[in-house]
Amino acid sequence: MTSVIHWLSIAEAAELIAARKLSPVELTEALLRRIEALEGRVNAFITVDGDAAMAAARTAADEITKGVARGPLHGVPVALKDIFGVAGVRMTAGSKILAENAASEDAAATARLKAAGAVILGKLNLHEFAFGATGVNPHYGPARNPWDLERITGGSSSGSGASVASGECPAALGTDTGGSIRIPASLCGIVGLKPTYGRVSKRGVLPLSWSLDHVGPMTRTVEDAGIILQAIAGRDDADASTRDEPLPDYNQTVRVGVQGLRIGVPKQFFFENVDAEVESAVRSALSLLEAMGAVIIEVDAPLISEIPGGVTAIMLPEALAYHQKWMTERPDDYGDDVRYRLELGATFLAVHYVQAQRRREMAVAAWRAEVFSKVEMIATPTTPITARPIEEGDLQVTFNLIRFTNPLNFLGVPAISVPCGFTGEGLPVGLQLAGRWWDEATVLRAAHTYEQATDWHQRRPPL
Amino acid sequence: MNSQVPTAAPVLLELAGLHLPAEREAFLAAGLGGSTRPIAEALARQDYGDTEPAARFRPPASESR
Repeated sequence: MTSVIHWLSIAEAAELIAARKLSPVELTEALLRRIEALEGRVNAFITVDGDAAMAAARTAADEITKGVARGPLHGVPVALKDIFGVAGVRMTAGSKILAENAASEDAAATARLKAAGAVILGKLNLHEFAFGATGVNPHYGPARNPWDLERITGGSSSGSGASVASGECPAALGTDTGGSIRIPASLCGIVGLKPTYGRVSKRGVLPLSWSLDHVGPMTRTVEDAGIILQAIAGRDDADASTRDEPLPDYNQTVRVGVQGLRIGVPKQFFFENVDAEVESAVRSALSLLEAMGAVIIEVDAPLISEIPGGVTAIMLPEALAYHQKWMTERPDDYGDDVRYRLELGATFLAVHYVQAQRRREMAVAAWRAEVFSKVEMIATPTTPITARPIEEGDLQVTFNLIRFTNPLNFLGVPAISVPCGFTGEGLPVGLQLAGRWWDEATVLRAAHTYEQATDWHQRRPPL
Repeated sequence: MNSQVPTAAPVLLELAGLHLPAEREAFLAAGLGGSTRPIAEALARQDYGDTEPAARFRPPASESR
């Protein structure tokens, strides 16, 4: 077990809290000290809500003393990307436009975390309005990659990646419209899970693209991602995309192993134009999974050449629809890159949007018939590149970062990024595993089995 | 429809209520020619059959439920 408090996983902290060897107050104080010590360099938080966090920690401690047990998140601090509503707390969305905005109520995911006893530490930096993949923010500054502070974290959940990787909190919530959970997870060397579309309610989360947005956990271990998902998943009548689907006990299913599990390696697209060190790390991970009993099978990637365009034709018009009022009244208050993407949204015709939604149905049917009938999951690099220097620019880096993640938003399947190595420069590499709709359990199981056979998740950045 | 998009940009922007400085409009038109034209071309293919769009209106539950 980890001996330094700020590096405890959720599972480790929960065990100590349950055994009365660690109090939620002690844990929260330690993380607030860690945040205070690092924030000048990492810039992961936009708002630290220390007073509320300590009050929640004291409440959890009192409950535990009285024998109330809310589960593994009871008394454990987490942080939220700054597009999740927390009643009465500032919610900027990383923007100038909402700099003075406060949420009127908790987002559904916030409420579920609170009900599970979690302590909310604060609100995390992000790419402005979650509309970008680098995490470079002109209004609040970039969140910095803990493995190299001159490099990007990836985005849009940039602060979520930086805070978890630097030991400021054991877990954070992010959102993922084209890769915004998995990209920073990959670049920061942590775990990021985009669940099935509709598995987690989006109510109270500021939207980017209603058809493609997903809410999910970012943690340092796969087991912890399952703990968070268990707490936030489920139907919400206020979010019509959510459904009543069985929710397994991930704490049990994660430990089953990979014997006989069929993992598909796409023959097209997902291994093209990949940095050599990234491909090498991912191929090594596949070899290890095969040695542990998984069956590696080459599969086609049907309709893949059309999917990224379909994502764009849905995402940009939906984003502009949400932002139209501000774009007409205060366009100069946006950062250049976000404003440009929103302007592009105006140039898609209605017929493009509808055809993209039809193309999405066709892609889902094709992948169900031609891929997920043959294998339980596919494996790819999460990103073809590792963390780039902050000053490198936006357009080409963004294009590369989202290339392997955004097709899975289009399909709506669950997908996880788990650390699978480091480059010679010491930068993390992520393995992406994507499974069948609603089968997060198998994705978590494969990722956990791989993780436990390696030590990538135990390495710490040089802060 | 694809070939009409770049030249139609000023009209579409106006319909969306967006008013861009000339240099940004030119930059946008350049982007359209480069990045969104292939998207429009792909979506213009007529192989949809009877596929309906993925996004659907969801009526509220019945009162008696």
